[in-house]
Amino acid sequence: MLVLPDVFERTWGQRAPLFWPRAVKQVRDLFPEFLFMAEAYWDLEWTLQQQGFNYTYDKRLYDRLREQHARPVREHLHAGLDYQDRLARFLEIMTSPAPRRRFPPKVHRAAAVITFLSPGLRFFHQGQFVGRQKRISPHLVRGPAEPVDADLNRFYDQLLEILREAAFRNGAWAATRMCSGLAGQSLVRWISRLVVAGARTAGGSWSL
Amino acid sequence: MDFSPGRGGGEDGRRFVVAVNFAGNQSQCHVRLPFPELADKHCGLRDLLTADRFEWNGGDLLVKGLYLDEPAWRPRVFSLDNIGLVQCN
Repeated sequence: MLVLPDVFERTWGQRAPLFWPRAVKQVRDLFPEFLFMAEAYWDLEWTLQQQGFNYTYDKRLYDRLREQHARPVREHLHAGLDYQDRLARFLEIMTSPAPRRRFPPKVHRAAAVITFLSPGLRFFHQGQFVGRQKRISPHLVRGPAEPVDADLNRFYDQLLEILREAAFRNGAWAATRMCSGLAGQSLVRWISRLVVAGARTAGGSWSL
Repeated sequence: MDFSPGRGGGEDGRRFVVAVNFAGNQSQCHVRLPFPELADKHCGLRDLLTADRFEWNGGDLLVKGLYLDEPAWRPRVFSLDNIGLVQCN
């Protein structure tokens, strides 16, 4: 992100040549399977994807989930799939505050289902499945013993079992629309998602 | 929104609907389902998170949408299953 020409120029006052397309190509020439993931912010996700990164952090979804408002979350999930498929989606990252301060337990489960059953790469943090609360430096390579959050652990067992379904790994996905005649705020609070196995829908297209 | 299906995989042909009441209050809605092949079929919805089961007429699902009335913050991951006499797939 910091070596993108625009960012470099804003930081150092001089123009820099394009770096990532050339660097990515040189690495891929040697290691074709190499994956690039960018810890991207400042709305530069799409730019970095276009310059060769396989995945970029989806900090925007994380921030919107933290705000606990459904509409911005739902709007984010209506972005193009060519973009969403290359987002790394997460609920915990190294630099974030302790998990309980981010998401109360019920909100955590709702946010986890949205995050990890949406398109893109699922990015889980060490200790997330057992509810670790202490933030440790990745350079420390050790951490304090903490009690396991059994309820959260069971929830993640269920979620991982669901993620083993072929449709969630390779199936087609679409954000749904609501068609209720009911009026009111409740309708805009829903996030809905469909995952449909590609093989069952071959030869057609859907209009939602 | 239009999209082209068939992004590979998913050979088991199963359908899932994920819905989350991302709000601190009870909410209701109808969700439009893009499964025209379900018309005149009898379908079972099984929530993979709670094991709750519901049965719906496929035609109603398509015309009215899937009706949901859920408490605060509840996530649902429905599998649309074949439940017997009339197949839902």
